[in-house]
Formats: sequence, C-alpha cells, structure tokens
Amino acid sequence: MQRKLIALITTAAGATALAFALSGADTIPDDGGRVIAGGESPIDQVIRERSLSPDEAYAALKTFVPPGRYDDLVMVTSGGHRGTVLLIGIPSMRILKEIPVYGPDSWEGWGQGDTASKEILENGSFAPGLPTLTWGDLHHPQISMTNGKYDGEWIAVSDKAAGRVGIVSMRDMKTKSIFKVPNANSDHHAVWSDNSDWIVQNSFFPDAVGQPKNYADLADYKDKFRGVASFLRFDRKAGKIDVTQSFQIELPPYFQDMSILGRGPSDGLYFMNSLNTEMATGGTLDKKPPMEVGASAREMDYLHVVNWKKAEQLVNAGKAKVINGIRVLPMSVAAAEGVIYFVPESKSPHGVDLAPGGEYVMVSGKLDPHVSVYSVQKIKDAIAANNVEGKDGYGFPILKYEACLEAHVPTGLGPLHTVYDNSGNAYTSHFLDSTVVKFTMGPPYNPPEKAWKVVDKVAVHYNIGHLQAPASNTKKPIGKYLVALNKWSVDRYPPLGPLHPQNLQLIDISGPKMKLLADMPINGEPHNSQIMPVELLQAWNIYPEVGWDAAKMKRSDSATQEGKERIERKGNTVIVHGTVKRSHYTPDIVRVKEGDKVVFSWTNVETARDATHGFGLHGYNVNLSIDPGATEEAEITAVRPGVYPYYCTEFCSALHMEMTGWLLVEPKKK
Amino acid sequence: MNAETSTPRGYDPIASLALAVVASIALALAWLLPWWTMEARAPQYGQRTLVVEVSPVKVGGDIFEVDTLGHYVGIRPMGELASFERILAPFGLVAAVLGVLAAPFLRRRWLRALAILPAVVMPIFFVFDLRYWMDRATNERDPDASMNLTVTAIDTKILGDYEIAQFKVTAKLGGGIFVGGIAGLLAVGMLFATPLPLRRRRPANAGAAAAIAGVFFLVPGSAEAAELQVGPEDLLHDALVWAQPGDVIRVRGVHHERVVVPRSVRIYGEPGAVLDGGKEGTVMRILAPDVVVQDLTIRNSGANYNQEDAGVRIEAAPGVVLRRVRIEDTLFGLFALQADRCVLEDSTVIGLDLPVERRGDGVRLWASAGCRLLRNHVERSRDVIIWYSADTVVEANVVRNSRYGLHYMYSDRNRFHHNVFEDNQVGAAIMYSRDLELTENAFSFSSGPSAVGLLLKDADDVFIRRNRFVGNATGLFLDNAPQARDGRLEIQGNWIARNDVGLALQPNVRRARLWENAFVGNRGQVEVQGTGSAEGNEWAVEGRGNYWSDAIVYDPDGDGVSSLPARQESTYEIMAERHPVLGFYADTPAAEAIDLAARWFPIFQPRPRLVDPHPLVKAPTDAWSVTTAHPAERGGLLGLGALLLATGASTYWSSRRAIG
Repeated sequence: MQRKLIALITTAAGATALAFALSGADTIPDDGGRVIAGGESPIDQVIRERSLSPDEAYAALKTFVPPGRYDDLVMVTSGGHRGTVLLIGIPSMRILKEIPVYGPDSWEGWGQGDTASKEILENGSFAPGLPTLTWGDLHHPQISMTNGKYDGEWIAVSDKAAGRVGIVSMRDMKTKSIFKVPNANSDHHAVWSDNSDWIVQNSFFPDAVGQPKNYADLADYKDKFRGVASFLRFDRKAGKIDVTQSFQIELPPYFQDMSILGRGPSDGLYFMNSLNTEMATGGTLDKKPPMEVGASAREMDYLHVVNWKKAEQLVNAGKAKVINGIRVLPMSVAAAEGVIYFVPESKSPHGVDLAPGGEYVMVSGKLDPHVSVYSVQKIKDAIAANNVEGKDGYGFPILKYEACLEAHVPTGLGPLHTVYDNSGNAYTSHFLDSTVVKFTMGPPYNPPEKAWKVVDKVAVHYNIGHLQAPASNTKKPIGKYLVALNKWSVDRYPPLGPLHPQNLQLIDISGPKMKLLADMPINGEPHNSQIMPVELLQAWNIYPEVGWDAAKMKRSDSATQEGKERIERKGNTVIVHGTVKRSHYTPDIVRVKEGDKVVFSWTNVETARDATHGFGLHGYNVNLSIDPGATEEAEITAVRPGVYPYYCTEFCSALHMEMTGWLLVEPKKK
Repeated sequence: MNAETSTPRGYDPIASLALAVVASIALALAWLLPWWTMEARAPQYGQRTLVVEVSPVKVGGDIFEVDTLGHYVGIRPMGELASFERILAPFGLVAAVLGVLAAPFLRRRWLRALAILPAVVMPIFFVFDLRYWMDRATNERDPDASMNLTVTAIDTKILGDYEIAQFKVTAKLGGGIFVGGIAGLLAVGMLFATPLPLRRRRPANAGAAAAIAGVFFLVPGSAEAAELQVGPEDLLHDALVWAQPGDVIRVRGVHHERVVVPRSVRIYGEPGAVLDGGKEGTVMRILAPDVVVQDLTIRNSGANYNQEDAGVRIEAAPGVVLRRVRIEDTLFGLFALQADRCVLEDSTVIGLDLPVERRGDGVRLWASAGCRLLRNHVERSRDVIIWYSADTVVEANVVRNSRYGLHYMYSDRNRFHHNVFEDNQVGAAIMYSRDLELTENAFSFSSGPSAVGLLLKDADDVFIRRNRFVGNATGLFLDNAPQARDGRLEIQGNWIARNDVGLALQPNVRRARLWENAFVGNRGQVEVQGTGSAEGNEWAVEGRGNYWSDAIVYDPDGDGVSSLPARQESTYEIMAERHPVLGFYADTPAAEAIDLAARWFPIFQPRPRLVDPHPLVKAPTDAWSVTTAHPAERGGLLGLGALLLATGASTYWSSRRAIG
C-alpha cells in the first residue's frame, strides 16, 4: 500500500511537471492564432463558461451555419399524423419549411377556404359518403428520381391512415394531388421507380377486397381478406397518377409492410415484408391473444419477392380483373405464373432496404438482433433452381432460407432500418438498444474478408425509428451525415407538458467513429425522410407568371390584372376580381346581400421575392396565402348579415396594419 | 400455415383392436356356418332337393342320401372324404382365432403375418382342398360299382350348375366361407394397422382381468392408470397412440422416431432412453395438458426455421413438466406456445453446432404464464426467450455460450434467482415488464458487439440484489427504468467488477436507487450514454452509498462510511472513452496520475456524472459470492496442473534413469 502510494505520488509529480510543461499559459493559441500572454483565449473562455466538453465544442463548430449561409443538405422528412412534409437544413438542423398535404394549414392557406385545396382534399376522400379527410398519417416522403438519382422535381408521400398517395411539386412546394388507392385502406410506404414513372406501394391492413359491399367478417379472414400491392403509373407532366395505366396484385392477408423496388441486378423485382403470416386478428375481449402476441408467434414471416414486370405483362395480357376501377391480378394467377416467391425472414420484420447497387436486400426482424442480408443473385438462383421448401396456404412457393441468405450481421436489439454511405458501410437503427450500428457491406463494396462486420456503434436518445443518410436510397449515396429520427425525447428538453416533442439527432459519419453532433426537437411524428444536396432545391421564388394557378400550374383563367379589378354579380353570385399589392386590397369594400354566394379571386400582382399577402376574412373561416404572382380563390355563402373586416395576415410592409378591407353583408329585406 | 412434418402414422388403437375382435368373432361364426353347399335334384326325388353342407369340421345335410346315390355309380361317400383335414380343422380354427387376437400386440410385421396366416390361409385352402376331393370323389370312381356312368370325366364345380347323370347339381359357397374370408381380410388389415403395446401392466388387483384379452381396453377411460413398456424394438409412437390419460409409459433404448403426445400421459425414460428425430422436424410435440416427460434424451431435430423445428414443442397445453430431460442437437430446444404452468427442471439443452445466429432458442416461452425454469443447463443456443409470460420463476439455471442468456419482454411478476449467465453476447435483456426480482445471479463475461451483462429497459418495480456482474463489456445497462410515476428500481448489494464499463445509463434514468453495491476496478465505473448525468438517481440510501474502488475515502468515525463524497467525474474516463488505448492503464498509478493532473489543470471542465454522498470504505461483505471462474481460467488451471505434474513426473523419471 505504501509502495503504491509512493508510486502514485512520484508518477503524479512527474505527470504534473509534464502537464506544466505542455500547458504553459503562454502556449495556448487563441482563435486567430495569436498568443495572449498570461490569459485565456475567447474560445476557451466560451468553452469554459458554457462548460462544454471537447466533443461538444467540436459538434458546435461542425454544425454551425453562419447567418446568411446555406446548409449543405436538405432533409425532406415526414410530419407523421400532422399530414405534412418538412424541409430541414443539415447540418444546422433548422426547419426550413413545412408543407401541408393531408390537413389544413392556415399559414399556407391550405384547406382553409381556398377552392383549389378544397377540391384536392375532396378528391382524396376515403370513400363516397364519408367525410372529407383533413388528416393523414404521412410516413414516407420520397424525392423523385431520374436514372436512380434524385432530380428534385416531385415528392410522393404515403398515407398509412387511408391508403393514399400525395404528390407535392418541388417547384413551389405545394401539394398537387391526392390519389386514393382503390382496394388499399392503408399505405405505410410508397416508393418511386428509378425514373419515377411508377409509384409502388402496398396495403398494410388487409381488407375485404372485392367482397360485396366491401364487407366480410373477421371469422372469414383467411378466405375473404386480402392485401394488394399497387403499381401506380405516374404522369410527370400532370403531377398525377394515371389509374388506367396502373394495376394491383392481390396478396394473402399477411400485413404487407415496408417495401423496396430493385435496381441493377434486382431490376424488375419488388420486395415486401410481411408481419402477420400467423393471420392473427386479435380479439382480446374474446380471450384471444392480443394482436401483437398472435402476430409474433411464429419464428418467421415472409419476404415477398415480386416479379412485377412479369405481373405487368400478365395484366396487359388480360389476366387481371377490374375491382373498384383498377386492374387486379388475382393471387391464383400470380402463384401459377411464378410472379411471387416467398423467402422466410425473421418474424415481425420492419425495414427492407436495398444496397445502393441493388445487389443485397437487408431485412431487420424487430425481435431478432441481426440484420439479415439476402443476396439478390442467390434469390434468383433459388428461383431458377426451384429450390423451395414448400408452399404457403395460398399456393405461393417458399424459397429455402439458407439458399437466399448472404449474411447475418449481429447488430443489436430491435433493428429497424438500414441506410448507406458512399464508402461501403451500412447503418442500422435499433429501437430497443437506442443505438445506430455501422457495419461493412460485402462485395462489391468491400473485399470478402472485410464484409459484414460491425465496426461502430453510437447511442441515440431515445427509441430510434428511422434513420437517414444523404441519397441513401439512390445509386450514389453521399455519406457525411446521418440523422436519427428518435421517437421519444424523454429528458432532452425542459418541461413542455405531457406531450413530448420527438428528437432528431444529427450524427457525423465522415470518420471511422460516429459522433453525435446535435439534438433537434420536432413536433409531429417524423417517420422516414430523404436527404438531398441543397443544390437540388430548384424551387421558384416567385411564380413564373402573374396570375398563376398553383393547382393547375399555369396562368389562371380568373387572374386579374392591375387596373381591371371589379365586382361582378350573376344572380345571387358575387365575384370579386381583385388584386393585392403592398399595402392594399383592390377592392377594399365588398357589398353583398344576405344569402349571396361570394367568390373572392385575389391575384398578387407583385413579383418581388417574399412579398406574400394574406387574406384573413373574419367570421367565415377563410385565410388565404397569396404568394407573389399567385391567384387564389375563396368561396363563401354570406349566411349572416353584418360587418366582416378582412386584412392581410402576412406582415408585408411598413403599412401592413393598414392593409385591410370590408365585407358588408346587408340584411335581407323582409 | 405451419407445415406439418411429423403427422402420426396409422392411428387409433380402437381400430386395431376392433379388427382383431371382429375377425375372431367372424372365425367363431364360421365354425358354425356351412362353407359350401351342394344342392342336387333328380326326378326320382320329386320336389325334394338334396342338400349337402360342407364346413371345415363336418359334412352335413342329406349326406346319407347323396352317398347312397353316389355309391351306385361308384362315387366315394362324401362323409369319408378329407377326414384328415377335418381332424386338423378345429386346430386350424383355434390357431386362426388366437393368431388374430395376438396380432395387434405383435411389434414386428412378419410376426403379425405369421399370426394371421391360419385365418388367411384357411378359406383358400378349404376351396382348393374341396375342389381336390370332389374331383377325386367323382372321377376316381369305384370300377366295381353297380352302374357305370357313360361319361368318363365329370367336371365337378365348386361354384355353379352341372349335371351328374340325371342329377342337376347347384354348387354354392356357404356363409361360412364368406365370414371366414372376411376374417382373413381383416387379418390382412392388421398387418398394416398400428400394433398395440405388448406389455400393459395393470395395477396388481386388475392384472388378472387385463391379462385375459385386449377387449377389456376397448372401453375408454374405464381403466385406471396403467403402465406401458416400450422396449428398444417397440415404437414409442404406438404406446402414445394407445395410452390413456394418466398412464405411464416407460421407455427403454434408442428410438428413431418423432412423436406427438395427444393425451395426458407420463413418459419415463429408463437409463439410456433416447428419442432421436433423425434431423427432421420436431422430435416431440405435446398437445395435451399435464404431460410429464422425464429422464429422456431428445435429440436431432431438423434445422428448418420456417417450420420451427424443435426438440420439444408444447402447444396450448398447460401444466406440462419436463424433468431431467436432455435435449441436444435440436434447432429450438423447448418451444412452448400457450403452455401455462410449464415446468422445465434439472434438464440440459444443447443446441445445434451452428453459428450463433443460425441456432434456434434453447428455451422459448411464448404466452405461457406461471412457468418454472429450475436448475437447467442451456448451452450453445441462440436465446432463452420469455415473452408475454407472467409469473415465471427462473432459478438456478446456467446459460452459456449463447446469444441472449435471457430475452425477456412483456412479462410481469417474474423471479430470477441464482442463475448463471456466462459467455453469452447478452446475459439478460429485460424489457417492457414490471415487478421483477433478480437476486444472486451471475452475469459474467458477456462479449460481442452489443454485449451487456444485464440490459434493463422500460421496466418498473425491479429489484436487483446481490448479483455479480463480472468481466462483461458492460456490466449493467439501464434505459428508461424506472419509467412509471410510481415505478421503482432498486439496485443493492451487487458486485460489479472488472467490466469495461460497470454501469451504463441512458440519461433518461431517474429515481433509481443504488446502494451497497461494489464498483470494483471497472475500466469505466459509470458511463452515461451521450451527454447528461446520472445525478437524478439516489446513490445512497439511509446513509449508505456504494463502494468505489477508485474513490478516496476518509472515515474518521470508523463507521465504514466515508465522510468524503465520492464523485464520478473522472477526466481520465472521458479521455479513455475517446482513446480506448488508455484503458490499458486503468487502475494503474499512471491513470490516477493523469486524472490528478487533469483535475489540477483542467482545460475542459470535468462534469460530475454522479455524487455518492456516503461511499463505503470497504466492499460490502455480504455480497453474494459464487465461484464464477471463467472456464478458460479453469482450463488454464487444469493445464498448469497437468504441466506441473508432467514436469514433476518426467524429472522423476529422468532422474531415475540417470541413476539407473
């Protein structure tokens, strides 16, 4: 003990001397490289005052974007059941914009009284007779691609709550159409083909597809419930889905989930996970196991390998039947013609992700602490050799698991999704471990001796869902950063009430070790996202022509030129052809009679960047955002007499407060 | 969905026995009935028809008249034909009946074939013999007869009409041969039916009755618990098919079969009893409640994940007990689905020799409440899984060389005592559960990419006492536990030593109480994941904190509790996390010196991770201690011993030779 003490003191003395020698006050450089004798540099002072650790100081420098400068990358992320898409700058982790798709947003005048968005939302109704939906569960936004690389033109989004596909134009960052996919009551995921001529999605909840009145009891689940995979033809010019060119494939009621389209060696294939091959339906009050218990009883579920090009040929050859207005290839045909093969996958899988070149499909079973890597070549060989171990109850052949498996990477508990960088690494999120794990891929990304090895792990906070890396799902991933989209924030922010924001975390992946850089609180429930270089943002700052109809993407027929403002009456309909300009409405007085239908058509005649005006009309639940060059319409029925001011809701100029007008509704004479 | 691989072969003991009984009744009936009849008409007899009835045992009817008539033309008297056969016939019948009754109990098919031979052969032999004698009787006529028939050869028929002189004869097969033939066919069926167990020992008082005939067992449920013997030559399958609820089946020898246990029986293995699945499918499927299997080796399942090939699979059957079984070389060991109150005790489970991720689970309890895993040894498996299974007791088990020693979710009120989790990737992962006790377990030598001794996530009311966490990558990992407002997590009296990281916490861990634990020589004693601190937890309870091997203590009043708070804020640790190479110096004077220097001259402020206000001067002595010497260490000791012995011996030998 004594000896140890002496050793300690001696060594301490030595180390102290060394520390003195190395950390002499006159050798600390300040930020400008100058030496401040006898003092501390301002940077050191900041570090000390804010009590930053070395890693934190590094992270601060790494993520700071000086005023006026742009981020390097833009993340297009989902707002979850807010029904929105968000654009977030990386590395600053600042929200750049939020785009409403499925629900109203009064700032953007979306679904808030304007006729164009009203029509788009109504077109996206679930079914005739049901109310117009004003929310959606937007899980996966996807940036359109040309030759397998982002082109920054369109964003397609899914809706898990209603089986819809929304299309957002990246020219003006506004929603152009919402398509209700027939026979699919849910849509967890929708993916583009490499040239964005197809949007492919599959239903999550099985439905009574093709049954009379779309009804069947759960007692007939195996016989009457079906899923569908939808291959939707995208008309780039119209920004719409062409249902006449689209088709579906009928599927067993296995809860098909995440999916991915192949490319390169896997071109023409579509891969889908399934999570309920047990065909459990719940029934807790009937003493049946709850859904999640029943659906996780088996060891394996099935990865669906779909030869969708073959399916398209069969459909075009007339093998499909039309159900609810779309051609559907029956399961019997799909099974007989070898359109779908199953490959066993670890139970309750979540992510299915494609290596950038299309050589490997990576599946994570939420309850299996591995990423299962399937080789596309092996799957093809197994299909060619008919290396099957049996058929499922619907006649689909099941390929032998071992015959298709390339590797099992032991990554950790609760693996979900996998993304890729530009140097042959894959990154998997782990919900249960709250980690991101980095591992090497096999050939051609790395030599075989370096393949499929876990090389790094970083803790995230907490319960990560998706993660995303720049251009990860394209042919050419970019690397550099990674964003963890964590479901829980727990203690990351000061008390904000019981509903907590979610927590996005930026991670530096440019070096061999991942480094956590920043936290970002976010409202809503971001699920998936995509990250593209900021240069791909080619949105208009003002509309190309004054009087632009954003829904039709051309000059509006009802656009009003300056000086031609007027109020027209046709019977009980009053049409206001008006303009807005800093800082007045023309007209600023509108007189109508009780019971009249009133149409306001406002054209923002300004062409100055950011000179947006609002039209907030008291009492009638209307607020428009009239962007520079845009023509916006709102229609009301003047049901109640009175005085209703309107004013500009978007602060526009020094005399913004004065930008007002009056709607006078004269009582009916009795 | 689940592809069946081991459907039981020919089933139902009743069928087999029914065959025997019906066949023997048929044979008895055949004894009484005529087998062949010959009706003869002649003008001189007017309306009267002479009838001769022939059976194996007698020739009856109007035999006198016929013989008299025949006599005139030299036909031998029928009553005297085949007398030898007729003497033999009763023996043949008895043999046939006995053979048929014995057949269901015979294991070997050739034995059964032999047993049924009389029943099958008799009708055939009868027909040919009859034909032979009839032919001889009519054609080897007495040349000295009163009359000579004009024809030289008479074509007698066994079936059909013919004429002899003015007689019109109609020959028909009688009921007897039909019944006898049916008995024969039934007997043939027995060749393919499931044989019954040979020895069915009744309890003493019922033994005699049981010995009489298998007929007794036809009445289901009437029998008291019986004992069935399955010898090396028998099929366990047959006994299972035959046994009634409550019966005991004693198994001897090696059985190459896969079985289904459809009823609540007890299967006891004699020493050396083995059930070998032949590397296909699931070896034993238990579908009935309260089945007991003990002293049996179950081995060689298939390796198909999609079919979940297992040693033992229990489906929707409560109260199953597996005792002293050895499940080896199976993909899954015990796969229990909705098997409430299942017991696995004093058993061994050893998985297939595959890479760990390709193995199945040693034990999987799924939606099975109230189970007990006691004193088992699980090795070379993937995981031991307990999901959706409340009220489980896991006691004195050893899980080694596996992935997750315990993978445990959505299961409340469970007890884990005295288990050893060694050399796994993760000792135990416990999630989404509440009301758990972990006492005196050892979580040791967990290594691998995400290696942890014990991972606790989203759990409440967890009491972790007197466990050992030794030599793991991370000893104990806490994430969001406790989580509920009133949730508790108490970690007391544990020995956390020589791990890379002793205790790792997510910064969301608050309100945990940790005291009287010994943190001894961990490379990092406590590590917070990401930024944050562990200060929101109680590091001392009632004035007693933890023992920190790296703390400077001062105890002037000699109460064993230091007056100096212990801070975990080591700059060295921060540096070691960033530069793992420094870990080499852990617990050396150099590390302490680096720490000291850094504290005196901070460039970056060390941030306190936690403050233990009342650190203990000595490691608590009541910490549970078991020998958890690493196998490699034991191996090393063994090697050393052997080396010393060898050296000693060789020295002795060489010295002897030198002298010699």
